[in-house]
Amino acid sequence: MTSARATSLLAAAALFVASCAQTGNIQKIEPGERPTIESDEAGLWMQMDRVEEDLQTSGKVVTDPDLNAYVREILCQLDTSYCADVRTYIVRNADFNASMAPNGVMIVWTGIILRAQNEAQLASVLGHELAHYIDRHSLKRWREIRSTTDAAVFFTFATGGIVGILAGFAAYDSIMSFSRDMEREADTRGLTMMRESGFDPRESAKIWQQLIEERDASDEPEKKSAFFSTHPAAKERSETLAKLAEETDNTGTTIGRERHAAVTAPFRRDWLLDELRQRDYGRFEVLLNQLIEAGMEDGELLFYRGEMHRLRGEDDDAEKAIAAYTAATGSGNAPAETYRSLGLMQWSAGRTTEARAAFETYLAAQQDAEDRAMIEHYLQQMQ
Amino acid sequence: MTKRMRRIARPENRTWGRALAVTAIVLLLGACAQTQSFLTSENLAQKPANPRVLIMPTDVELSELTTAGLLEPNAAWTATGRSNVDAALDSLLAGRNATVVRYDKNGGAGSAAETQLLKLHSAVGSTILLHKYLPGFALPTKKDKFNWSLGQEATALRGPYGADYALFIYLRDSFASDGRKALIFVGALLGAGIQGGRQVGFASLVDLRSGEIIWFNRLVSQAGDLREPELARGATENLLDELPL
Amino acid sequence: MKRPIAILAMLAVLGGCAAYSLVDAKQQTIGGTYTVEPGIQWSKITDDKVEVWTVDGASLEAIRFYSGMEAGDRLFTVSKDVKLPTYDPAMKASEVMEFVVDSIARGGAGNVEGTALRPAQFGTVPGFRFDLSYTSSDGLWFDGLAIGATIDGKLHLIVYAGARQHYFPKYRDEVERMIGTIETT
Repeated sequence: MTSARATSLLAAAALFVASCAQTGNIQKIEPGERPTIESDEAGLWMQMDRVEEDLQTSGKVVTDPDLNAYVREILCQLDTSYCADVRTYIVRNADFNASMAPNGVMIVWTGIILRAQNEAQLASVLGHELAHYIDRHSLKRWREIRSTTDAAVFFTFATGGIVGILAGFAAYDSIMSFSRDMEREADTRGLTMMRESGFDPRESAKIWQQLIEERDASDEPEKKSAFFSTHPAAKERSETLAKLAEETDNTGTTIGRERHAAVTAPFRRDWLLDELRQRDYGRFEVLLNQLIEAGMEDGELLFYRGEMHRLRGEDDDAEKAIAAYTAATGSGNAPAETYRSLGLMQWSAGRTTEARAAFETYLAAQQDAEDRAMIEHYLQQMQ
Repeated sequence: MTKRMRRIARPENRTWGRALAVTAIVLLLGACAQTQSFLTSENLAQKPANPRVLIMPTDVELSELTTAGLLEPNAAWTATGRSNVDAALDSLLAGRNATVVRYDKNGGAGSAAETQLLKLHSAVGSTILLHKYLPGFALPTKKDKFNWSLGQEATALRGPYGADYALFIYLRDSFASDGRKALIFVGALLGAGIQGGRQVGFASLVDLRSGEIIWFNRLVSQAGDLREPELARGATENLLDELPL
Repeated sequence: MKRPIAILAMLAVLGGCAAYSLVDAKQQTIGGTYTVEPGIQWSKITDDKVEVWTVDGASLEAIRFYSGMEAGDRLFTVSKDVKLPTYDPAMKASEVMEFVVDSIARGGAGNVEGTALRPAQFGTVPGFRFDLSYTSSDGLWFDGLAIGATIDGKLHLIVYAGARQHYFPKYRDEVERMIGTIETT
């Protein structure tokens, strides 16, 4: 046993050396560059090509040509030489996140486009992701994980621990996020790209500031968000970015608020609904206020403020919901559903005359209402 | 803005319509016999003398097993492995008097419909693995029965290829890295069994006249190497074991 | 590398799994609150306030019978990080449909829609019905239907859903027939 233990320690030491040697120095990828098929990088690409195929048919990709063209245009403005290597996918997901795969698949969640208040803010996200691609962060991360888990196995084994299946699984989780140093590196490169392509780099810090406000208002601020757990402290990041942005003269740079508002307008309702489905009312309210302040169409936003109060249903939420719906109907671009929700709340409050009027307005405005039979039934019940 | 591919490939939750991950189920079957197949419990249609078999894109992936037990996919091995398996399929099916046609991803009359068909097949495949191979999940309604179908829509695949059957192949092969081999050796000295590389896979045969999955096989093996043509042929032969053609 | 966590989830399930049992084609009582009379055999697995019946596997088709849902109850759980909508007895039919639709969406499905909300009899109790459609997290299309009623502040709800291709249509008539046999006790 003693000799076996000695052998194992020896083997451990040998392997440890071998695994350390692997990480190597990783250069940035060149435009148009593809990994050679024998490389570990090619394996990662292959894996992600598979993921990409699944993604294309997942039913979650937003295929609207105008929206896709808009995102691509910003990406290509940020960097013309790499833009042909990157395929952007807009994916329906309410959370604030984007991802970059080693094979050039860039995923932008709708939660990001909803929250970006202008072209420059969206550009800051896209530039950051593109920087992960250029600096080959996936490959770096994979090699780091492979060698550290190898070393960990040795440590565990050599010290008499059990090489558990769980150690491997724990490692997978961390593979999937870049290190904080990589995030900083991507922030810096992303900001440089913004500056060089004419976007106002000061917007980069602002998007973080907006997120911090949201998080602070969350119903569950302590909940580990995918986003905040893997990124440099948001506050530190926002401050660093703000400082970096001020290092140059930013006059004449683009913010692009009107265009962003116009391009995203047709989708805002769906994306807000996705967000509301998360049932984090505190965060949702802050997000609504931010969008209202940013000058997005307010009828829809007021409708969703009403929805938020209706669903939360605490204290004076019922009256606040009614007030928000009423305000929405006065704004000119409230969805017809505002009247249905108003009807439901008035009915619950015992105000059947107001409820009837609201339901009738809903049915008149929504001739092909899917739930017409039910609403007509409500009207009968109230008689 | 992390690389959160995983969350999209495998959303964090299970919709109630979600098919269980094939890889997960196949891996759980490790302790079972090498192959175990099921033949339809429905009446088998008359087999054509020279059946045309549509081979769906062979889903093959080869990886290296790192010291810690992570799988590192290897593109070169995968390319070799896939072409070895494809060659073996051609020759083995020819030996059964079958004519082989290959699925064209870019063809297809209605690609959205075909995509749904492939997704349904993968959901049914996971379902079979779960409920037929894992005793804890056995369905009383499937006791002594094997009668899953892709429905009439599957017959749409017949037309463009004139095929009688569609054959689906899924194979995963992994090989221990040098570090893993050393660990296995040391583990053996210490009396601890450590998992090396292995081969897992399944195959299914769909009758394109009825949409029925008439045969299904699952393979698990600690040996074999799809990078070697002869061994790939052996593995494919095992996988097609008892194929009713 | 793909989906390793699913293995852990599976192992967890295997550890303490309740086996499927057979439902015979005769009157069945759901949660002590209502009965239905299936015309074919089903495989059943039971959780707190729901019975899940399937013939071919719940990833292909399933009928879920909920009974006695109270304030704060959820349709299902995903993980502790995913907050699902909760039931509230004050909900009108429109809001129950919203509760179901939003839950399915939060469960990872895409393109979730509830349509054709209409009044319907749940046994002898006035209730509601609606239709469902969504894509699974893998992108497979599903159709569904739901019928329910609130009795004494508790929600009783039946949801049938299956793959649009083959599986949903396969048992649809049987499910419709079974809905016609609902008796509240």
